[in-house]
Amino acid sequence: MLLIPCPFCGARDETEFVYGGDAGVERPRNPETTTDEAWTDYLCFRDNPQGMHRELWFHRDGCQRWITIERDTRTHELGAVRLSRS
Amino acid sequence: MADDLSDIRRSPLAGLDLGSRAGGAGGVLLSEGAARESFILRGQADDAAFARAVEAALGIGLPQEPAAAVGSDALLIRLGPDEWRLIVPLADGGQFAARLASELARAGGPGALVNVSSATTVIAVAGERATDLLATGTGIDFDPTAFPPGQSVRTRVGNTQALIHRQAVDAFELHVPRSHARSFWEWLEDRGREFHAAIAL
Amino acid sequence: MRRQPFRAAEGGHLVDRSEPLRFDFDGHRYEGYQGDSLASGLLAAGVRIVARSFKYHRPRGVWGFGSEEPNAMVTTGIREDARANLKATEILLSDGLEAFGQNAWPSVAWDMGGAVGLAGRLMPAGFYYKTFMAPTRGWSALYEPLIRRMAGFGPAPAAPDDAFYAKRRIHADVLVAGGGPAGVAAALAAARAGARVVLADENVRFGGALLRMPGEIEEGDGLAWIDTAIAELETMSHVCLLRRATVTGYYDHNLLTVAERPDDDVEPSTPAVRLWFVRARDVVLAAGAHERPLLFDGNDRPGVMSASAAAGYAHAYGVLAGRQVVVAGNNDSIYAVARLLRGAGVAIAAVADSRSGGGVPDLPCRMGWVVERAVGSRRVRGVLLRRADGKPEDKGERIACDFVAMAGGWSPTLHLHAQARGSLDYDEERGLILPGRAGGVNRSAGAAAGRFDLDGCLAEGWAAGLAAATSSGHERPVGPPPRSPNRSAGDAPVSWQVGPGKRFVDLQYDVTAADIELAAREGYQSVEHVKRYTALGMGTDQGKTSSMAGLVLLSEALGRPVARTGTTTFRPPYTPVPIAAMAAGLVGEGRDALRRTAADDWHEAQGAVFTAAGLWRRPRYYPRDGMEEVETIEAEVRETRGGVGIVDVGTLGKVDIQGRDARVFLDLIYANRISTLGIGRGRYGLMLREDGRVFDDGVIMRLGEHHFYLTTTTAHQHAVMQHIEFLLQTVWPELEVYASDVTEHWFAAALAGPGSRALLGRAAPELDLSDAAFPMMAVRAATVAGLSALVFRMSYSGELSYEIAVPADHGLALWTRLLSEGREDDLTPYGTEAMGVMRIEKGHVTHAEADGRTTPDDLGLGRMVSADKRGVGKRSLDLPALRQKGRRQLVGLSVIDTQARIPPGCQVAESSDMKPAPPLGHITSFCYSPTFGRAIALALVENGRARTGQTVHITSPMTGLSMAAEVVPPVFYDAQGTRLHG
Repeated sequence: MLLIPCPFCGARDETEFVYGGDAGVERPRNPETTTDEAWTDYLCFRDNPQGMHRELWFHRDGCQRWITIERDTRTHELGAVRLSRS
Repeated sequence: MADDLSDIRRSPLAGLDLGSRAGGAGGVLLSEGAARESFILRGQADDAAFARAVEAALGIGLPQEPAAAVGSDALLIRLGPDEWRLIVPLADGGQFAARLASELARAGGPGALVNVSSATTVIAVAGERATDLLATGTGIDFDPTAFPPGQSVRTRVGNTQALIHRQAVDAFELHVPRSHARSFWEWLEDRGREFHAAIAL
Repeated sequence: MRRQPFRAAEGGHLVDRSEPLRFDFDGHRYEGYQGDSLASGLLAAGVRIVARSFKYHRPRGVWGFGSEEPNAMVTTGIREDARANLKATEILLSDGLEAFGQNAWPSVAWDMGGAVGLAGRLMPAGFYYKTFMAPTRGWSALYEPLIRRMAGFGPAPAAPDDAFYAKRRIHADVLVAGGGPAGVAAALAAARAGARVVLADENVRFGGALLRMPGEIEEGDGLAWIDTAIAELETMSHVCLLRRATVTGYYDHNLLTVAERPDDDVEPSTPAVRLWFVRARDVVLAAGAHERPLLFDGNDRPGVMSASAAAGYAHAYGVLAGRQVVVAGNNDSIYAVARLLRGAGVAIAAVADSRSGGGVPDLPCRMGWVVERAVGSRRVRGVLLRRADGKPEDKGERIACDFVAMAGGWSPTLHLHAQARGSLDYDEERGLILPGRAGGVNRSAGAAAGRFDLDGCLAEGWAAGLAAATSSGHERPVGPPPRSPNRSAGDAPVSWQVGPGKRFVDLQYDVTAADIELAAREGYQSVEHVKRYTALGMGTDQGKTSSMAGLVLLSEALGRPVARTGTTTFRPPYTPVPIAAMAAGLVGEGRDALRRTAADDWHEAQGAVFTAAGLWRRPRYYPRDGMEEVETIEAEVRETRGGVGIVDVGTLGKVDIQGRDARVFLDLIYANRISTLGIGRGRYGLMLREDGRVFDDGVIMRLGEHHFYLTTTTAHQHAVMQHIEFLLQTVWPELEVYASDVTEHWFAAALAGPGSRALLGRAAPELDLSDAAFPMMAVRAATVAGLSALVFRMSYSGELSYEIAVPADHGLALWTRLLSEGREDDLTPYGTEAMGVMRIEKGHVTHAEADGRTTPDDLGLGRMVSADKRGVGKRSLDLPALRQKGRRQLVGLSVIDTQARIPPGCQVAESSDMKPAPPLGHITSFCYSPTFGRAIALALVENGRARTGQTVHITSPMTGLSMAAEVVPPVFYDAQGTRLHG
């Protein structure tokens, strides 16, 4: 069970959080002018890196903020952590 | 005309008939805390107008540190970057909240104030084994340097989410979601067997 | 009762000879002392056979001293109190304890299955895979029952375990795993430095190896020094000492589990097992080392045991494993063991040292001699010794003895280090696998790190404790480290004897050296494959004594270096943890996180039959005297449609939305336009996921200029909040909107039926309920039954209906007051079944239809999607896959045969023959409709809307049922909506 250093609440158990996927995905600013291909890419395609991954977690049982953390997918070593809404 | 509400208020723990089982001493005492009025207060911590309105209405400043709780009659707890919880005695009759609503309105309506008085049930856990009992169900560190009396944290305890307010080293109030309150109480009693938990009124 | 023939006249620092205890083993009564383990009690009584082996049912005796024990597995208690697969070495003797040997019938001493042992050579490695093959039918009919009867350990208990189990979380700066000299030194150093310390050890007393063999620390008895250190630690409030507590798992981010077995029989509230979850900043791994077996023919016979264990029984319990011993081994420890046993009264028949040269004058040493074979079957009667460098034709020499103490050297306990993903290094010269680079934040010390001398263990433990305290920010002065004159390393050279016969590597799973060699010959190369093929190390001891020997033998058989073979993966738990301990606090009546509405007490008092809706419990229906369930549900529907009913809708999710940008935001999260709502009005809204599928639906009410109140489905309360916060915090952070979950604050009840207006009119006399003053989809603040409330005019049932919401503290009052007010209207409380029937009749969708695959158009709600605004999911609706022909669309199905009833899990098919073919679609919701007098259903059917008027077949291939049905629009009931006006 990971120990996630919530930028607001401090270190809390992983069980207080909900995983929210890749933090690098950006919603196209103008969906209607986005091609089908680019939109599908946004919807469905994700990298699956071996190593550092920037990802979103929701602190459901704490401050209820979405946070962005860097996590090594091989070791669970954590890098930078910040509130997603900066 | 609405009735006088004091006699129709119904605790979700009423069905447990705690009164008939109260008594005795143990390593930890469980009791239902007094009902409160409680409000979610939302706003930007760096919004001066918002902060002034809060201070004008409540006479206490917005706590800035995470988990910080200030005040006594009216307790204001910081739960998130833009979220506070205002907890006031039921006897207040909504005056704090009314003042706060009008001050916020005068300031141009920053933030939001939401009445959630019925949303939580207060359960008091006290005694020398109180932290041991809570530690059967939460990962929060109860070392007084990590969680000093006076602070409040929102976390998961046992089978529910809870706002834990530490009143003293060995005295806590847990604000738990109303719908979970009864099964949480039953969980507390079950886990409390290890510490000879007793029920107090 | 038998006395204690093998109890020495004196000695035994763990037992209290003034407190005799009685216990039963396999129906015989024996005597032991307070402080004994079951193993020491059995040995003292002279019981040599305590178990039968897994595969061959060979008699087995006590082998080890603690959790490494591979043989002495027993069941305690009987029937419902039975607990199987416990190690006799770990059970504290208590007065009246009942224990049974396992894997044998009628008893371990006389076991019918032992006959299999004669056919042992017929059960080689991979026996199961080779023997129990085709025909496949043989599995359930023959092989499985046979294997189940022959295999396995103790019996499963006959009833749920009603013992109390507990869990506890604790935070530590330093967790020390293992309370031997290294661990105690580490804990003392760290605690003196000011760190919060948890020290856990699996034994009843701290001391580790010093419990088994005396040693000297600081010019005195080692154990006395340990006791003094423990006494000092006990005075420190920041130290937690756990005895009989095994560190079983090392998980991510330095979370470790410790299974504590508090002394039994204290009181009912003492847990059988307390599972600790320790989050530690730093960890000192000082779990010691396990003694290795020697591999000779018959090395499993009762009486052949670990030398350090044999010494331990004498030293700790004053118990002799026999009268006459052969001590055999490959390292210096055999001399200390032999002297200790001699001092306790055992005759030393021989000390066989596989190394040549050296020896000591005070013992009958055989330098360069090894054990070829143990003689005797039900117990050891002697050994055959031969020269290690002798020729095969050498006859050797037989020496009589009644037990063998074997010392094959030591294997550091690497489990926790490896579980934390630490690397392992093979030290070829010493024949040891040692902890390499650490995985988590931890450091190994003492025997666990390959230091086998007492002075080295103390120094290394002290340094590790200090370093761990420093790394967690504690640097108070700690004084000098303890010293010991015992500085002999006693390392064992690598030597694995090779000879004929049954040389057991894994005693618990009956894996022999020949099995491993056979697996290698059959082409198995990977150590992981060999483990699974032979079952090496798969028992409850997880290869503590066997893995090193197996690894070396496999490497030799494959002709490659040990370092290249590698080890199998170390996985938690280190020792078995009862599942009941993991489930502590989560099982049993009232332990689940049940959610109750404010009117729950009333429902329960009425005898409502409940159903689960997520964590909520809701009344399914209210039973009536003399009426069946289906009749009752039909009556609830009829009485609501014909009069007035009331239903508890307190479980719906509710969200308060405020802020200057609330309208903008609501337009973005709903597929239809919300911003045009007037104050005091509401609208049904459809939420999409970004991929265009329907996510949730509900009603949005506008309460003020920048203030909205919206409902979610019961199931999606949390998901919707999370979705809203995701969009507000990560996609549109510029919007000023505050969303608050107010589900718990509000209770709500719906009055439905043509009589609802009259009833509400009496309950809320100040409220004008005329269509003009209070139209459909309007919201009003009002006093209802004396309570401040919000009243919504909306309908789920298809009837004229009002939902009344009050703060949940007043929920029960609202409910009971409406019921008493409604007595003259014959107000009918109804449950989720009647509610479901009415919503199917009305064609409303739930998550059965909005199942995460359907678009608004699939559900017939395509026109709700606002064409002229952006929003979540909108763009996806234009993707070709969501527009193509042939998608399944929501339709109604009206069963033609009025007597037919739809079973669960039905398909929709073109024909009734039920031959395998792709179905047209599937039934999503179905019921018997009392309103229409026939079964009806909602279904998702390929091009469904175009099939309106056609006949299709509802088929249930699982039950063989099939029925014809007409495709109709999904709204069966009052498609014009005239009934909504009463």
